[in-house]
Amino acid sequence: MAYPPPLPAVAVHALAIGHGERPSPLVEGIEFSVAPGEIFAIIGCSGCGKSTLLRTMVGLLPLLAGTVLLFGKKMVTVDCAGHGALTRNFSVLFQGGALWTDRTLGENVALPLLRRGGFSPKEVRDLVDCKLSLVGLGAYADFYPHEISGGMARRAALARALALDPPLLFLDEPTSGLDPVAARRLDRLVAELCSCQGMAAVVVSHDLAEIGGIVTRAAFLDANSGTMLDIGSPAALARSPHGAVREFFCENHANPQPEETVP
Amino acid sequence: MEETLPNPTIRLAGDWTAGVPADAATWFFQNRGQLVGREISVDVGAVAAWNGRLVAFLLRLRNLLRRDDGDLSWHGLPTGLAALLRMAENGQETSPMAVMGRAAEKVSKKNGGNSSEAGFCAFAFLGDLVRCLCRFFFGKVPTVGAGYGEIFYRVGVEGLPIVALISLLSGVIIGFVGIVQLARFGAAIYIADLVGLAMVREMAPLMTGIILAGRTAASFAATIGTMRCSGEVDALRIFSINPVAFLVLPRVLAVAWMAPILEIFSAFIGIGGGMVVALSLFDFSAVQYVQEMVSAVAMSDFFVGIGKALVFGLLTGGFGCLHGMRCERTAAGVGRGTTAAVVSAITAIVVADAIFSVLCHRLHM
Ligand SMILES: Nc1ncnc2c1ncn2[C@@H]1O[C@H](COP(=O)(O)OP(=O)(O)OP(=O)(O)O)[C@@H](O)[C@H]1O
Ligand SMILES: [Mg+2]
Repeated sequence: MAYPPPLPAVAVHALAIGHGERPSPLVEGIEFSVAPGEIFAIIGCSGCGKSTLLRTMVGLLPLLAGTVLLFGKKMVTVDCAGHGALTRNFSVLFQGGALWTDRTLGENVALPLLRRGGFSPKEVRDLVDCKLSLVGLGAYADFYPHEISGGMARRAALARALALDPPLLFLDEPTSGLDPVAARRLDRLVAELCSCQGMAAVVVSHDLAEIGGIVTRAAFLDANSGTMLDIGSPAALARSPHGAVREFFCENHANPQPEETVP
Repeated sequence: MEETLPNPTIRLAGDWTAGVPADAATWFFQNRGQLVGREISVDVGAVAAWNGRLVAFLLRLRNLLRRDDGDLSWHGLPTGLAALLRMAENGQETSPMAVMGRAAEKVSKKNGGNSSEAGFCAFAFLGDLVRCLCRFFFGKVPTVGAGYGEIFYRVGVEGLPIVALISLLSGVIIGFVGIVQLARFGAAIYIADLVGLAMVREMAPLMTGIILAGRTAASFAATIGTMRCSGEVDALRIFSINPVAFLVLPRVLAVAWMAPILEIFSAFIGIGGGMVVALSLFDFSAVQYVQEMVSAVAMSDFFVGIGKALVFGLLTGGFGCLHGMRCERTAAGVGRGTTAAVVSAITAIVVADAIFSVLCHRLHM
């Protein structure tokens, strides 16, 4: 896959997010951009608005202010006409998986392929098999979502999100609730796809230690101040001037620094 | 418990596992006037047994006091209770942003706005549906993967038994009521006309419509509503699958297509029911009965019935899916959506039937 190099996969500018037309947005002034091949993490405490930010970036929630550009094209909400064309560029792994419950895992992965068109039935079958095997569920193509565990559903949802080889993937808590082995395997898969296919990944997590190994940069959202507190590589964030950010790294739990430059 | 002025201390004692003991509750009720706006400390040292209800009580008491510029401090806490209270205190402090947002949201809900989601109003839905229907007839809507076969089967084939039963009994009832009256004038054979016309023009479409509203509209609303709750509809959108084209269109087409078929089936079964009554009570032959009926029921009556069924089917499918697409994303919301789907579908069917009657009368059909 080839991308015009200067275009970032995601560029977020002065974004304010929230639910509805509240007078005060949940978080505002969000500013970052993600290059193709990069793995970008959005971290923060539970309930700070990470999922909200992700849903805003993919057009499921209206932006309260600012802009979101995906490969240089302005993001619009799902009910606008241009959204269909934008979805060709990205895919989403939702926090709960959101598999279509009346279809088997195989059919879940196949549906995006069938609707996009241009795949022969055999190709569809091969692709479904391949994607499910990538997440370790090759033998479960005929199972329904209610017949598998929560972690398996998450993996199946990842297989579905990868079905069309999106150049940009949004993941909401991809590994929470998975055992360490499966989680590492999933991280490796995402890292592999990013490095060899140039896919960009935006990962939402409340646990950077878990995905820290693969993430190139991260943004920290803070609900108390309603801002994006810090942004940078995991190593830089671990030395952040903000105590709330440092707390995210286990070593700081064990050895908290007493003085905080910023409350 | 005792109170020493000027620095009041309330000493709690006894068993607090079943909530506030009755005597303590009485004491607080009687002395609440003195507690307002004071700084009070609580000594829990003598409490024999406690659980989460004591934690809740202490927090509530402190919140009450703080509301009137008083305060509550505690001492003599068992270690576990102290830790629980500390954690509950920390959890109570919500960020000002979130609290403000919450209040604003309540206001917007009160004003009837549910703006957090891209608004889904009935007219937008109708517009979308009509556009999808038009595009469908020009072959521009991809049908792959939408499960048309299963939806048609669910709506049509699985509806047959109940339609058969209701129609048969409708025919029998009309037959009985009619034949008794007609026999008085020696005109029993005209029961064939009565049952035939009543079934073909009125009862078959109405019964089919109402059965579809109860079975199918409810099922559509519940299915689509649940899919919205679990985020499956959002997932469709992310794969640029338009939920109206993918979920609503097949269902509306299925009812619109199956309703006339069920209606024809229903009319024949109902006529059969009337015939059974007539033949068992009077001794005319089946041939006579059918001849009489055919002479009375014109082809136009038949088409009126089919037209009605088509309209009722569209109304059923439309209202079922509409209420599925706009219900609240909660379990109770889906329940309410289902109810609303059935009620509005039945109402719409009856209103449409009345309009049909007027129209047919005007057009001499
Ligand atoms: N549908 C909604 N309507 C209104 N407010 C909501 C809605 N969903 C979430 N919120 C609010 O938005 C805030 C952020 O929620 P969000 O789901 O984005 O958190 P999160 O950072 O993803 O948390 P977690 O790590 O637990 O998934 C929460 O405080 C919540 O109260
Ligand atoms: Mg979340």
